[in-house]
Amino acid sequence: MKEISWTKIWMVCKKEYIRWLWNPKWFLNFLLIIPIRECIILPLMQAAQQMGEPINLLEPCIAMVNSGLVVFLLPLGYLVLMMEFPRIDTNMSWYIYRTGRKNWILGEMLFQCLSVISFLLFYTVVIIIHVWNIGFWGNGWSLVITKYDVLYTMVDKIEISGIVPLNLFYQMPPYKAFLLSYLMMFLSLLLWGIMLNIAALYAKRIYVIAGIVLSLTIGMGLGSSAFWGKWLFLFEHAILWIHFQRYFRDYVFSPYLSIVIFVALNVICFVWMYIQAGKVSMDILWEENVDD
Amino acid sequence: MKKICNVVFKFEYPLLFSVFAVLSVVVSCSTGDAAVINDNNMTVFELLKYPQYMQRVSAYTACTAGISGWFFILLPAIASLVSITYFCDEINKGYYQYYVGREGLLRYLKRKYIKVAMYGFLIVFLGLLLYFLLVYAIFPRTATYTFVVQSYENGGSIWSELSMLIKGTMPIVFWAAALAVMTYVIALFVHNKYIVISIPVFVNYVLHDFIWQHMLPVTISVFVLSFILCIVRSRRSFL
Repeated sequence: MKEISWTKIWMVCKKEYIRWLWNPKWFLNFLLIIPIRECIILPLMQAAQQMGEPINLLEPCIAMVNSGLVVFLLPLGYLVLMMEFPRIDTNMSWYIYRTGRKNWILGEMLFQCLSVISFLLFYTVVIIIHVWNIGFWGNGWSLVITKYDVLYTMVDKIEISGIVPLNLFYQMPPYKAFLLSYLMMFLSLLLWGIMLNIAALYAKRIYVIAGIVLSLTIGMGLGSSAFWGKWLFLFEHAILWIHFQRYFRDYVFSPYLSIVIFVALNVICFVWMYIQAGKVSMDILWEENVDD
Repeated sequence: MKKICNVVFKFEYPLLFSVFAVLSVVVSCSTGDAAVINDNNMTVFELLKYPQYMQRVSAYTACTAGISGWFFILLPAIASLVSITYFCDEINKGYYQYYVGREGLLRYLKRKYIKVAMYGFLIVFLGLLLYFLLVYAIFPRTATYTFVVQSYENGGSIWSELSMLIKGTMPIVFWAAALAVMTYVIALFVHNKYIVISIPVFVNYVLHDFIWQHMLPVTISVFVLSFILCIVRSRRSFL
């Protein structure tokens, strides 16, 4: 067994990351901008225009990671991108031999973290570019979010509380909402990525993908219901506003407990992946090769 | 004629994927906003959850609402997903050479052009027809508590309303076929299915308003231009 070397870990990570960035599946992920624009950006911009007031630049970003549809589509887009990773091709056996299995899997782990950050950063930057002209920075909710629903009562009005729910802006300032929402989304995407890695080590990637998609679909279906069983699905733990009651400053489920659950699951899966990587047979890995 | 029919309708794409594509038309249509109830826009799908509100929306309104939702945005992907995925695989894996060896590249490309167009047309047509029939089976024919004026110019029978709907949606169905052909022409130059399927979705989304206003000339232009590009592409092998 080779010693752990940061250079080797970084090289594995860099190689996978460059492949990931040049993946043509990104074109499918560009399509995700359409629902984000239609469901979040355009209604917010229209409401801001009607009121003649600016919006906080973080508000559409917070809305993105708290909207049921987008929170469902984001992991799907990420899974589509990560489906081929760790990339197992004819060259892999040689670089596993050179780097060592532990360095390889740690490099994959570092790549998972970088890819999730890049993935979220991409959509955040796209959103901020969209609303840059009508936005401001600050740790306060804009009047568009807090007053629009009260002031505008015509039939075809935009439902702002459906974009940034009351549960969120009654409970905390935008900076905190942004940090907590993104942390939860980061941890959930990281967990799906690590699970895909583990699945690749058992040559069972397709079953794990199907399981994750099924869990997300059921989670989304139970989304806003009061049924307690919905907390068994990780989808609910990744959405911040569901954790709070509507008017009272009280939890339905503590968001910090959700973060602890995510961290614990990530650590368990990481340890599992690390141990399995040390003893996995190359023949099993080869079953998932993408060269054919 | 028999030969052409054989070429066009010869079963090539798996039935399961075709059924999936037809159902995706139905699902995307059901995301259209059909009514405003208690200050909330409600989609056809949401109305199914609240039967008490369903009475306020007529079947005709629910059918027309379906066209304006996510259906139009997803139209290029729905119309071309199965056929273009198969076409790209055929090119990338080299299976097309068996056909080209027998019939020549130009004839092969022309045959594929017709197939892709017919497939896109049929998928969207069948999907819309299924959606209309389902909506008429579930929603009431006349709505209560509505301000929307219902049009029954053709005597008011279900069939006259359905035929009116089908006639009204025909330009969209032809546009779906044109989009499938556009995707096919892109696939002739770029063989990556993800890129090929994404580009028409963007084009359709960005030019949404222009397409709605000039649907017929745009459809004809896409068909003609794609055919010309198809002939131009046949002068050079894929290899």
